[in-house]
Amino acid sequence: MPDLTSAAYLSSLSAAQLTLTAAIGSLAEPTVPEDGVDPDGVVPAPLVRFLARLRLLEGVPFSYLVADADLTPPETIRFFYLDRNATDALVEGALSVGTVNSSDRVQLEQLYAVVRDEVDKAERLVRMKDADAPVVDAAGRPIGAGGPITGFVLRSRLVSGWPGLHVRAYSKDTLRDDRTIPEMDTSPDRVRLLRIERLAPAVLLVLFDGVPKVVHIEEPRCGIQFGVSLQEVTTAGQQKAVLAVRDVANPNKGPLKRPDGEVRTVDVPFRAGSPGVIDMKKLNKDLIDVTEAHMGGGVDAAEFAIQMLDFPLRQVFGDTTVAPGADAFVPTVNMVALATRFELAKNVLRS
Amino acid sequence: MTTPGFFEIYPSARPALPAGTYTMTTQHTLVAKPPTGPDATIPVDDTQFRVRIDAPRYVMPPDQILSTFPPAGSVGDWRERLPQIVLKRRTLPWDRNPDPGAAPSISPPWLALVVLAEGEGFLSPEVDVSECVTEGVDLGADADAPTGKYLEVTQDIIDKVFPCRDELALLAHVRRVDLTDTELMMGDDDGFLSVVLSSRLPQPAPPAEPGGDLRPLRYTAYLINLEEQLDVLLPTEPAPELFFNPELVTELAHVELLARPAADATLDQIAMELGPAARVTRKSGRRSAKASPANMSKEIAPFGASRGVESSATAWATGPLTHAGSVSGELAAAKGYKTGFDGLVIGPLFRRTSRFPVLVSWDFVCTGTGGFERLMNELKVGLLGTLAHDQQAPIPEVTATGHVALAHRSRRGEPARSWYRGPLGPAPTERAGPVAGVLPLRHVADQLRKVTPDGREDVSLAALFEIGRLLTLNKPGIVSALMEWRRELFGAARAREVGDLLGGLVVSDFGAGVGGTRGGLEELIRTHLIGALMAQPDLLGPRAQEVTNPRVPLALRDMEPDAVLVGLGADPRVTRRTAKEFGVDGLGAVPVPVSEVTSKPLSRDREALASVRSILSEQVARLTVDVLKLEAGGPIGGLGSATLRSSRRKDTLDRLIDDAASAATRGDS
Repeated sequence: MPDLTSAAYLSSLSAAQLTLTAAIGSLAEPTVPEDGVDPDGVVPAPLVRFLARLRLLEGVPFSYLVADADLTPPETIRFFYLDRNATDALVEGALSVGTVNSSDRVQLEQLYAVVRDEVDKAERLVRMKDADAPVVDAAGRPIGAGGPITGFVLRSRLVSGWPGLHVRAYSKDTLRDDRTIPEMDTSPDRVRLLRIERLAPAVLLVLFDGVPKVVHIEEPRCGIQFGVSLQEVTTAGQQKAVLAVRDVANPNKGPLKRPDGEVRTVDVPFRAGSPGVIDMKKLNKDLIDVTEAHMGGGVDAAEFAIQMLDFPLRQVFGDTTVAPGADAFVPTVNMVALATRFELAKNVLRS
Repeated sequence: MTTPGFFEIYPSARPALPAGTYTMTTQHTLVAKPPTGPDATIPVDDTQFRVRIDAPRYVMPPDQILSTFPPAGSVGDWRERLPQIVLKRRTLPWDRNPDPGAAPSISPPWLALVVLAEGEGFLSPEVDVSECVTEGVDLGADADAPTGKYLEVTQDIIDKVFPCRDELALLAHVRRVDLTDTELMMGDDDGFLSVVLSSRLPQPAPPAEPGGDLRPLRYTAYLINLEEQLDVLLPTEPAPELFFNPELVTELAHVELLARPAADATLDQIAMELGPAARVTRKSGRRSAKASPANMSKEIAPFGASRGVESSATAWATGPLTHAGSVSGELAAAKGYKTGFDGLVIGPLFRRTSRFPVLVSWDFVCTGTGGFERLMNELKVGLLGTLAHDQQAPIPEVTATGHVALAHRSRRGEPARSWYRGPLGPAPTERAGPVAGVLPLRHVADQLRKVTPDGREDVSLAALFEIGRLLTLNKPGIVSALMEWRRELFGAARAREVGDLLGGLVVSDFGAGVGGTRGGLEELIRTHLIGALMAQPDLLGPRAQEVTNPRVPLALRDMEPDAVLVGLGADPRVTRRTAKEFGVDGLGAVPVPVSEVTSKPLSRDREALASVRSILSEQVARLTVDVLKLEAGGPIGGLGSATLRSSRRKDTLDRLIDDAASAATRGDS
């Protein structure tokens, strides 16, 4: 039992109190509201928020975004630039509600430049979830007005069948397409999402804070999944499936490759007369028979689970003519074209 | 701790003691060693106590379920993915021993995930747990819940779909995840999760007719308890094939187990699966494959057959129903009921059925939309404004800038075609900048209407202006915020004007303050005006008091009060004393010398009277001249006042003066 009146105890108590006071004092005072919209701007913060959301086309009927359904046929992705004049027209329409007489209008005209700037800044604060813009304040919020806004409309069964698609965009094409990317990539090349929303069961609208070079769309990650890949049906009534084999001693190296570079697979056995029911025992045995997979001889659910792992697919949209990460500005000459030119020149000289 | 971004997989996690009731016995051996004589054993009674190790048996506690795949209630193409359930407690699949013959260290998991298509099994409502197992099987009194659900299936379904006994161990494993990875951790406490897989890949229903689209098929995943019933499972897989026939997916369904309306169901209830039309239980044999739902859907009755005749419910299959196969089957069954003959059931056949307790079950729909990868690869990529290659007529008018020609009815009601482009375009646009230093602001939509060189109007911006306006008017809160802001702006403008009037000397930054920030008028006055005024010593400093005192004439300011009093004829000493004793009220009693006033009336003074009269006559003469516009020096100007006077009649004033004069004369005489 320590002596509660000893000098050492009291001094340590007062030291602790001082530390605590200092810690409380050093806490940042919440002067700015959570979403970072300036409460003391010329335009009241609730109005700025509303106008910023309007700028991101919230509530605008879809027929005003895509005027003709033929512009987004089924199973298409359509990229676009956001027309700032059009969104400014939306804001002007909203502001016109607050003007009653001509002196209001004169006043608002004088103020409009300030209003536009404030809404420009707030526009990027609407979607806070992804706040990893290159220039951020201490709370990780983007600072300043954004540049051009782009995006895409995806109309596909992908949207209705896979709710929660992951969309990511980069301003530079520097990553390998199959690279592992954390869920919250903080790379400076990342182009933030201003909006991602399902406008209809099969229509997805995405707005980017910039002009991306590469867009990734990923299958939603429902945790860890297990599965096989079905093959194209060549014989009617005979659906085949294969499973890529991994080396369970080195599961992070990806599937095993055959000498010709193809992925090594085993055919998946099914129970006769039971569509879709996999013969797990036989499949496990077939996998054990692949010696490079380094599976033990017995029944091991862990090794088997590693073989059955199925990772989400990532679709990359970008310039396919340039290899990712390659320098796009290396001059190259096609030797065949060069030879043809030389031949032509020789002929001309001869004649 | 696992490395972030990685996870580990273990084959199993077995508890030291499987769930159940145990009796523990303690034995003491007490030996006494007396100093003399041999050792003696002192008998001590054994102690027994019972220990019960608890584990779910009939119902899975909801907090133990971390995730299911496919997600419950979801619709999607899950053809290539095995259904699974992730449980929180790592030992859960091994907490009980389903095989009394096997040692707990090698026993298979007691949980199995079984995925059955619609009609392949029957899920009971809540019943007493003793009814949750096949007749003749006894799980004992150890129950975690009084009631539970069971899955009843025929032996052929068990043989076709359920996992085999030797596969069970492969279908459960333990996963260890990084606790900082929210996506994988899913709310777990220790990072260890157990996973139970199904061995069946869900498949969509085959097309209604050859070459048609695959149809969605509803599946239910059941997490069942295999205790004491391992023997009904196949011991091992029969001869496997390296393919399966997806067209046979619906062959296993028992039409009696499909949604089955009761006899008194109305057509509405049948079509909407409400009330008595909901699924009911019925034990009977399986229909022949010939009459399977897949075949049923082709038997669509002509639409006219349904007119007015509720019993011919099959005609509804022509309606907008997506599950044509199963629905037409149900409705056909309903028709049988209505007509009093259950013609679809060939006859109840004796089949061996088994019941398994269902700890949890969830539904999902497997569609044939094509896998994620296939759909992605077939996606057509383009900028907005690109039309499909095989665009059918009428081909919309689309310009390279993304404008579309749309039918437009003008305000006069005239039909027209106008250009429209929404906020999304295929090319970057230049944002309008300030004109002569001021950003243009439009107040009505018509200011944004444009006419293109082809004579048609471009109403894009005007339409968007109007939509912005309507969206705002739709939100009363925003409208009131706008009006509030307007009031504030007016207040601020007024304050700025006041500031400008006060001039740069006092509040040089007041006007700037008004322009730069927003806030109430009071706020502005408080922060800017008062502060600036306080900083001016001449206005609000020490001398301000003089400014606010009652004004005293300058000539008197420097005089002594006594001198003033003497000048007024008052005695200073008396005044002071009176003021001291009686206050201000007492001052009224202080004697003040007043000069005498003569009381002789004016009318008695003849000289004065004569002078007044002459002045009056002069004034009257001048007025007359003014009224008649006679010029002094003109033809009449030469007339003397006497002439004028004699020429006019006496008026009231003259009479009054005369009366006064005569009265005075009389008084004098």
